[in-house]
Amino acid sequence: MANPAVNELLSAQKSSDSGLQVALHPLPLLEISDYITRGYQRGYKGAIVGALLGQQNGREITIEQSFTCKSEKNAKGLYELDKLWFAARLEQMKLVHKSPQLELVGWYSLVSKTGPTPLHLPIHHQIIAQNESAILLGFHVEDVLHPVAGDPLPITIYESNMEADDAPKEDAGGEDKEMKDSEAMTKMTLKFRELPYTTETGEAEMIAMQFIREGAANASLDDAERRILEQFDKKIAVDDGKGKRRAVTQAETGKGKAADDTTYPKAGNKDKDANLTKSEAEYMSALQTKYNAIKMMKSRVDLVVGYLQKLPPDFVSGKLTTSEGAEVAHASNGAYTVPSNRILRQIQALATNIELATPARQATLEREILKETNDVNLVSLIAELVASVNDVREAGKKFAVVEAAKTSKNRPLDVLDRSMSDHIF
Amino acid sequence: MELPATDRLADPQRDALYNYDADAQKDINSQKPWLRDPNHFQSVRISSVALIKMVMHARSGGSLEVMGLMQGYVDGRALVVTDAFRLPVEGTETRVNAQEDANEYLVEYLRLCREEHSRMENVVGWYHSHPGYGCWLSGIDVGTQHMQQSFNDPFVAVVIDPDRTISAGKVEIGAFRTYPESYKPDAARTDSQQTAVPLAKAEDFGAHSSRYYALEVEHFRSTLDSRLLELLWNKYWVQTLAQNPLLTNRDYGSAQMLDLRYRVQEASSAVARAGRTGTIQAASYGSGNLVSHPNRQVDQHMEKVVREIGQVAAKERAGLMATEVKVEMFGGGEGK
Repeated sequence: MANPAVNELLSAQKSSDSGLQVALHPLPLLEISDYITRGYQRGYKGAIVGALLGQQNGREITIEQSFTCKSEKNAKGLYELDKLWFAARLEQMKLVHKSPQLELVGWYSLVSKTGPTPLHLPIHHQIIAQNESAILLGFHVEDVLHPVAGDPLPITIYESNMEADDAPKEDAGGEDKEMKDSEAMTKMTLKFRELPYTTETGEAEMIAMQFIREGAANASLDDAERRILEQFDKKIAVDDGKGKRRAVTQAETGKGKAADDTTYPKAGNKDKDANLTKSEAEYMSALQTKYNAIKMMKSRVDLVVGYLQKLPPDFVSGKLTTSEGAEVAHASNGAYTVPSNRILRQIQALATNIELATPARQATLEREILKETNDVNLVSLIAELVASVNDVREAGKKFAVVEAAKTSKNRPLDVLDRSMSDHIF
Repeated sequence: MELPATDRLADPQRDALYNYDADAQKDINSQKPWLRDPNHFQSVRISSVALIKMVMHARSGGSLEVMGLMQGYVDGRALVVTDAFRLPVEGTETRVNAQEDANEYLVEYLRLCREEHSRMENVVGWYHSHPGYGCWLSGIDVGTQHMQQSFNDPFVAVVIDPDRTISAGKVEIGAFRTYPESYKPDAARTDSQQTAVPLAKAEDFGAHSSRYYALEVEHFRSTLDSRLLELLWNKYWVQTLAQNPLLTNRDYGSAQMLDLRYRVQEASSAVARAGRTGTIQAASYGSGNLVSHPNRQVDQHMEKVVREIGQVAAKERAGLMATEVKVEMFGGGEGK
C-alpha cells in the first residue's frame, strides 16, 4: 500500500534536466479561466479539459492558443477525448493558425497540487500518441482559493517520461515480495515531472491584456447608462450625443446614491480624471504602468540586497565554507539567510552584467538621446504651431464677422457697393 | 478534473454575463425588437478572451485584412460577445470559393461546438481588421453587414486596427451596425468619428459613413480573470521597462507624418479657395444669408489636421518618456 501522500505518478527525479524549455503565453490561461467561469455559471458537469497549441522548435515549446475539448467518461469511468471530435477540431485550428503554424503541444485540465492522478492518464496517453513530448498544464484550483504569498501562477507544467519502475514501494508493510524475473522487473510506467516555464507575450497580446485590465469592467448585468458613464472618458463616442449627456447628468445627480460601490470601485477616480483629454489620460496610464514596473523591480532588488545583507557574518568574512554557513543559517531559525553557491554566482553575474549595461561610449549615447528628444519636441512644436494657426483663423473669422456687422449696421445700403468694389479691385 | 464544488471561483452576480439562457434568447429572437428601432443596439460588451483573440488575429495578419466571427447573445440594448474565432479567409476577398470555404468552416465549427455542449451561443457578428487605416466600414463592409443584418440579425460588425493598436498602446476597435435602406439617420448627428482616416481611404469612408452608426465598445472580465491578470502582471515588469516605443513605431510614425503632409497641403489650398469667398460672405452677413458650407469644410479640414498632429505628438512624447525613464534609472554614468 503506497503512502497516500506520495503521488506515484510524480517522478522521483528532482530536477528536470530534459532541457525542454516552455514559454507560456497568457491567452491559454485566460481561456481556462473563461472555461471555469462559464462552467460554474452554466452548471457544467463534465471535465474541464482542453488542448494546447503552440510552436515546437526542438527543445523549445511555446504555448500560445488553446481550445476546449469534448470529453466523456469511458466504460471504466475515466475521462477520454472523443477521438473523431478532437481530430476534426484540431484540423480546424491548424487551418486557421498558419502563420506561424501551430501544432498540438499539450493539454490542460484541473489538477490538484499533489500532481496528476490516474484519472488524467487516459487522455494523456491519447495526446502523447499525437505528440511524444506533449506536456500537461495543471491548473490548481486550490492556489486560487487559498493564495500563497509570492506564488506566481496557479499552474504547474508537467512533462511525462517513461521511467523504469524499479524503486520498491516504501511501506511494503513488511510483506514478502515475490521474486520477479528480470524481464518483468523493467516495467516502464509513465511518470510526470515538473517543468519550469517562462511567461512570454506578444506586443498585441500585451496591449490587449492591458486594455482588459483597466477599469472596473466586471461582468455584472447593470443598467446601460451607468456603464456608459464608466467608460465615457475612454471609449468611442456613441453617435447619439443626447443620450450621452443624459447619462452624465444622471450620474452627477445620482453620484450620491451609487449604491453598489464595490461594483465600481474606481468611480471616484474617474470623476477626478474627467477633465483630462484622451492623450493626457493615455500618458497618465503609461506613467502608471511604468511606475508599477519600477516598483516591482525595486522589490526584487530589495529582495536580493536583503538576502546578501542577512548572510551569516562568519560566512561573509570567509571563515566558514558554504555548507557550514548553511548549517549556521538553518540553526539561526530565520535570522540568517542560507548561503548557496548557485545563488551567489547568479548575483555576481547580475552585477557584472549591470556594468555592461552602462554604455561604454557615454557621449554617443547622450547625443543620440538628444537627437531623439529634439525630434519629439519638434513634432510637438509643429502640433502647437498648427493649432495656433487654426486659432488665428478662428479669430480672423470672428473678427471679419464683427467688422462686417459693424459696417452693415452703419451703412446698410452701401454694403453691396462695397462688396462689388472689393471684388473688382 | 471536474469543477470542484465551491462558490468562490465564480461570483453569480459579478460573472453573470458568462451565463447563457437559450430559452430567453429564443424569445428575444422571435420578438426581434431591433426591427422596430434601427438604433436599438447601443453597445457591445466583449469578453476578455474574445478581445485578446481578435486583437492577436488582426496583428498576425500583418498588412492583410483578416476576418472571423463572434459568438454571443443579446442583452437588452447590448450585444454580449463571449467568444471569437478565426475564419480561414482574408477579409476583402470577393472570390466565391473563398466564401464557400468560410461557410464550410463555419458550419463545421458550430457543429463541433454543439457536440461539445460547453458553448452553445449563436454567432452574433463578424470582425475584421483594417491595418493602419482606422476603424470604420468600407463600402464592401457596409454591403456585407447590411446583408448579414437582413438574414442573420442580430448581427454586429467589429473592426480592429492592429497597427494603431500597437502604436498607441491601446486597442483600436470599433463596432458598427448599418441602417436599413430607407432609414434617414438624425440630421443632428454630428461627425463624432474620432479616428482620422488616411487620405487614400477618405473617399471610401465618406461615401458610406451615413449608412451605419457606431456602438459603444465595452469589455468585461470574470473575477477569476482579474485574479489571474494581477498575478500575470507581476511577470511583465521587465518588458514594460525594456520597451522602446519610439523604435518600434518608427515606421508607423513616419507614415503618419507623410499623411499629415498631404492633409496640410489640402487644408491650405482649401483655405486659399475659401479665402476669397470668405470676404464676400462676411460683407453680406447683414443680409442674414451666410452660406457657410465651404467654410465649414475648411474648418473640418483644419480641425482634423490639428487633431491628428496632436495625436502624433502625444505618441512621440509617450515614447520619449520611456527612454527618459531608462536613462534616469540605468544610465547617468553613476553605476549601481
